[in-house]
Amino acid sequence: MYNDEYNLSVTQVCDYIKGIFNAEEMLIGISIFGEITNLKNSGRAVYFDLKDETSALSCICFDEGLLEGVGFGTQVLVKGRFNFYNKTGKLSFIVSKVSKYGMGELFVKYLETKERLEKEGLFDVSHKKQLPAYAKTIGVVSSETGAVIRDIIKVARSKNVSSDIVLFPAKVQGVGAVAEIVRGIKYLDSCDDIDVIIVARGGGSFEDYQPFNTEELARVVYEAKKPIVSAVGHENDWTIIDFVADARASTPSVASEMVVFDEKGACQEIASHIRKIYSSVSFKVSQFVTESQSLIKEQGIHLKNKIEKSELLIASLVGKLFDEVEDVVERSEQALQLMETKIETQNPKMILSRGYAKIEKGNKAVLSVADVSPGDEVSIRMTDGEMTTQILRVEGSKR
Amino acid sequence: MNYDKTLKRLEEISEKLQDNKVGLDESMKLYEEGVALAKEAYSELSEVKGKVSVLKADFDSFSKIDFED
Repeated sequence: MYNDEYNLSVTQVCDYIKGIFNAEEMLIGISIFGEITNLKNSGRAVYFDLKDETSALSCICFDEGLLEGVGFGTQVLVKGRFNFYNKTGKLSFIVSKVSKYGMGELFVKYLETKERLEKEGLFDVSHKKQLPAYAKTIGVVSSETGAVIRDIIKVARSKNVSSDIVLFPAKVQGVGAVAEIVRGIKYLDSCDDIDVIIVARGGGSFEDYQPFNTEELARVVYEAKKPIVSAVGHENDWTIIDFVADARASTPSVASEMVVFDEKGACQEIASHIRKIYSSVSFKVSQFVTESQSLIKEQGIHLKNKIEKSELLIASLVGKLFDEVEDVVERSEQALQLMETKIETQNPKMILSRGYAKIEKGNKAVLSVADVSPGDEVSIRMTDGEMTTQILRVEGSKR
Repeated sequence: MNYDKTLKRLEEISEKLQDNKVGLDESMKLYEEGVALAKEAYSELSEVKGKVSVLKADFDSFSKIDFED
């Protein structure tokens, strides 16, 4: 069927549709209730979807202030008007007023699960494990495509070249996501060489995060033996595993930053340890030297005293020795003098010089009158010579 | 000759000199020997005294260990 009269341009149709929406009285000043999702702020306007179980509407709010106190999952009542945007052919609801309208069903469930698990102790700080300071191998449960794993690797490589990253690919939203994430965590937790596990996904809507709000995943994270870092969505998006995990990173890049050690920093730390050890050792050495020196000095004083005492002792002993030697010499001298005097008094010449004479018969001394008889020839020796004479008569007592 | 032997010999000489039986010549010889021996003994004694005084002076001037550092 071909009729030129009914051939319309896109602009004509868009203008026509726009006209319908503008003219429809039912839609003027309308208020709609639903749950906020897919919230995005472009700076000039805030975009979000308003949804219920089966339907969704795109909304635009040019006044950011209207959305204060509401966010993801909030059940709201919005007032405004429809605008059909010709350039994109899209229908949007331009919001002029926002008020809270109960809470979203998913959000209610989220709050209920969170409260229950918190009461049970799954969020307890005491249960949280310390992240390793120097993780060698990092396990990641995330989608194998997309920016998340790329960001994690990029940050890791900027910090060091030696940490290994093992990815367990898993669906991170929609049907089957929970089972895959659970399998990933359990698998990596069972690997001996894995030091820490990152569970990550990029930003999304509150619905997209649902796998991370499930009790099943929360319990698996709680029971894992290895430390787990959660990194789901953006800074302000909190999911239940963020509370259960041993550490929560606001983004996957931050998670990588947290678990991958900084090579440069580590080297500096080691260098500072070495410096500390060196300074403490050198301090000890100088202390030892000082102590030794004072000890040596002390010993020196002792030794000096001992030597001085010994010197005094030697001096007194030697003094005694000299005294004794001098005594001996003196005594010897006296003995010698005595002897000399004795001999001197018996000097035959001295005796003869006093007029005495020695009488000898033959060569024998005449000591008694009995030694001679008259007629015997004897020699008389005096100091200055000798004379020979004959015995004429012998008198006196005969022996 | 050693000093003690010298002294002993001098004693012998003194005893012999006192013995009247010894002839004059013998007595003279003994006397001369005694005088010589006494001289020798004196010189030995003075040598000993000299040695002692040298040792004493040597000991007194012996430099003691200096502890000043």
